[in-house]
Amino acid sequence: MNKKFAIVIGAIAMVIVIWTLTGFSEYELPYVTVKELKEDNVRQPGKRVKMGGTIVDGSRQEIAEGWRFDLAQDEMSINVLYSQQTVPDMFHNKRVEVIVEGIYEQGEFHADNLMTKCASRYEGELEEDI
Amino acid sequence: MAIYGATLLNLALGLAVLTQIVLFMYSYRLVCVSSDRSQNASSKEYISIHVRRRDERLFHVGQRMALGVSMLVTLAAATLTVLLVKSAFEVDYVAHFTSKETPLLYKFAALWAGQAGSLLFWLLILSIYSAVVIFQNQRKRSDLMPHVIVVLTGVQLFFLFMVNFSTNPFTPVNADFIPSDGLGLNPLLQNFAMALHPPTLYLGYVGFTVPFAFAIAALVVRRVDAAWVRGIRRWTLFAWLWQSIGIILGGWWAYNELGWGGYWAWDPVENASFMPWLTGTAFVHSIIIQEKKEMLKTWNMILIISTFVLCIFGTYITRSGAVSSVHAFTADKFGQLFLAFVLVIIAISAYLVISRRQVLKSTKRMESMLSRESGFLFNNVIFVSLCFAVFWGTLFPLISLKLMGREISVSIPFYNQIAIPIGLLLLTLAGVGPLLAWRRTSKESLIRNFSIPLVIGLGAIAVFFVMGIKSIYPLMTLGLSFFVLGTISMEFYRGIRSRTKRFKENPFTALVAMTSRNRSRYGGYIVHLGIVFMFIGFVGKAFDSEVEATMSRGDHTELAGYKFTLEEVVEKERPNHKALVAELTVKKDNKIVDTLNPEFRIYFPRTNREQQHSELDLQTGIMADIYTVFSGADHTRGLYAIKIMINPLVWWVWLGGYFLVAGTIIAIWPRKKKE
Repeated sequence: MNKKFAIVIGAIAMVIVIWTLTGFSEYELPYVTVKELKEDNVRQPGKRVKMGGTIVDGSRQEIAEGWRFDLAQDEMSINVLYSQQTVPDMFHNKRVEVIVEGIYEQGEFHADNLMTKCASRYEGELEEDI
Repeated sequence: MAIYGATLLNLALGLAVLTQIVLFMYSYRLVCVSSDRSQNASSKEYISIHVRRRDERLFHVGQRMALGVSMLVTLAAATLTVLLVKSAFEVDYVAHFTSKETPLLYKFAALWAGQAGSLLFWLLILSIYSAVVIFQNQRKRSDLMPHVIVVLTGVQLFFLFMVNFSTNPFTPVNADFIPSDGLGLNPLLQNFAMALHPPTLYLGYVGFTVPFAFAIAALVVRRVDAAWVRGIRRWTLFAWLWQSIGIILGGWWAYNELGWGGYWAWDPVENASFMPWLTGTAFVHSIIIQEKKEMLKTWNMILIISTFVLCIFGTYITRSGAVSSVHAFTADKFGQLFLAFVLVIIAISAYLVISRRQVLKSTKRMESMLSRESGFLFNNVIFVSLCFAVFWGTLFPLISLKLMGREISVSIPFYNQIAIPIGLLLLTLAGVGPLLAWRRTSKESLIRNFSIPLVIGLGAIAVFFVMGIKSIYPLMTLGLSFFVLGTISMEFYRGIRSRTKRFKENPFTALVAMTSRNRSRYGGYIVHLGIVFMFIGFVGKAFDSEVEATMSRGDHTELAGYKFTLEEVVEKERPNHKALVAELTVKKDNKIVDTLNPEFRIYFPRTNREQQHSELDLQTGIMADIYTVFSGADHTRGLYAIKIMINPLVWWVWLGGYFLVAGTIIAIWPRKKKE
């Protein structure tokens, strides 16, 4: 009986593990850098990717479809078009770090998902008397 | 005053090291007691007496020193709390997480708002637990205790090392001036649930240290029978309860504060708390088999070790910032130390389990696929597999970086496609498992137990189908929920009926008596009931609807049969922020249902740190929540961005949470000695 059990249990575990390991490709979301997006022509347009960076202060612009802003990474920056009007509270902070998900097309990043750095990790910089 | 805190932490570290040394000396008989020879005349006894005996005094000293460590840590935490309340901005931590305007409650909460403080807070909870464990076992002469204390102070030692050398909460401000005001707590965190969410989660995370310590002790002394498991059953449930509350409160906070209308997003931080919960839940079930049948001894060891490791790992993920980008994963010293600690725990535990494999062998065997034991076993495999899937998804960016040289994350649908079917399997087991008999279940009892619930479940599917729910997962979830409701109700019904017949009690007295006689069983059923309610709530997610609109005063918009009118927007000045308060009337069939007041706030106004914050407003209902967010404003032109969502059945998730808590408390509640 124990052997039979081991087989059944092993089989269940195997199915779930294999499923986990293979059920991926559709939901893969590679992290890319601005540099890669701008230089790498191999990446076919239309593939969903994820990208992090700092919003350039003063570049936020509310438009009919949502928001437009520049995302800076190292020395480079990219224009992002975010397709929703509602943004996380911390979106408006200075030097805020965000992660966007979407598609890069014709020199613009079309994002449909935007996350700000985790709220509990929010740390500002101290300043002398204000 | 900060210097006192730092000194207390130094002293605690030193004392923890000494405690370890003393208890090692005790356990390995490094100091022997020369016994009184005069009482032992015969030469034979004389020889046997000369075998080195343990010096009990060392154990008592070690125990007291461990209590001393706990006391010093408590004093250090108290010192930091006083500094926070007194706004001692010369301390970096205080200046970072509080400001003059921070309300008192959140000055207390700032203790666990940042990395350094929350590590000290972890340590504080562990210290309190250690002291409780020591006091609980003072009278019982248990040979596990010295090793339990070694493990507990060992874990304390690690965290003491961290707060002393890596992230010290008492570090002075790194500048040549004392700030006149602090930065203040992030407004997102200034929420009652958020103030409570970390402590509850920590009570859970840290709580699993106690069963882990007993497991290691049992391995060391090679006494891995049912006794140690019985000793930690209540501790395990206690930790599990807090872990569950922490997770639920986190979801509740996200739902009520973040404004995206959901409570779970498979975020790495959420996953970090969910993984130990999964293995912990498996453990809570499988120890029942060890208690009753002395089986699965090795498995239980592996489960509790994994749970503890995942707790440490979870603390790291939440506290390190390795969240938004895994690039930082092991880059800093903080991460390396945590990783090293995890590896040490795994190495020691693996050595102990492997070297004790002979005593861990179980003597009994499974008899049938259709038995209570096998039900538990299936439940375990599925819980652990789900944990694996979540683990894989959470760490995939790191794995892909190492293996493929590129960081790839997975999106939410990946988790959903795995977790939904597995969740349904677990829901089925929650209904089937408790009705299976130990050893084997006969065909007759299967028919007797399951025919009514099966009819209820199928009936529910038919009704919901007719009502217009056509998609497969929601239908299956609802059908299974009703099936499980059926099995649980039948269990209660049978129990009550047998008592009303035998003792002529009224049904209510019978219910109370029956539950209090078999607390873990009926408590468990109530927890299952809670889980069923939660699943019903999850179904609602499939039927969400939302609308975003830019409105000015007097405008209206419609959603799901409701008409929303923006009547007025009022400007208000409050102590630490200014707010625009919208007055949004909700009408159905031209009758006013409710008036909602979402707010658009600006914290730290007129400084260069202005921070916007939308305080949402919602009306909760059994069938659906009306959820409104005031997401942006152009006050001079009178234009306001409003988001409205209708979220069905969310209420049931929170209801399930209450049942889960109530059921677990019933299962933990101690019996009177007489019983």
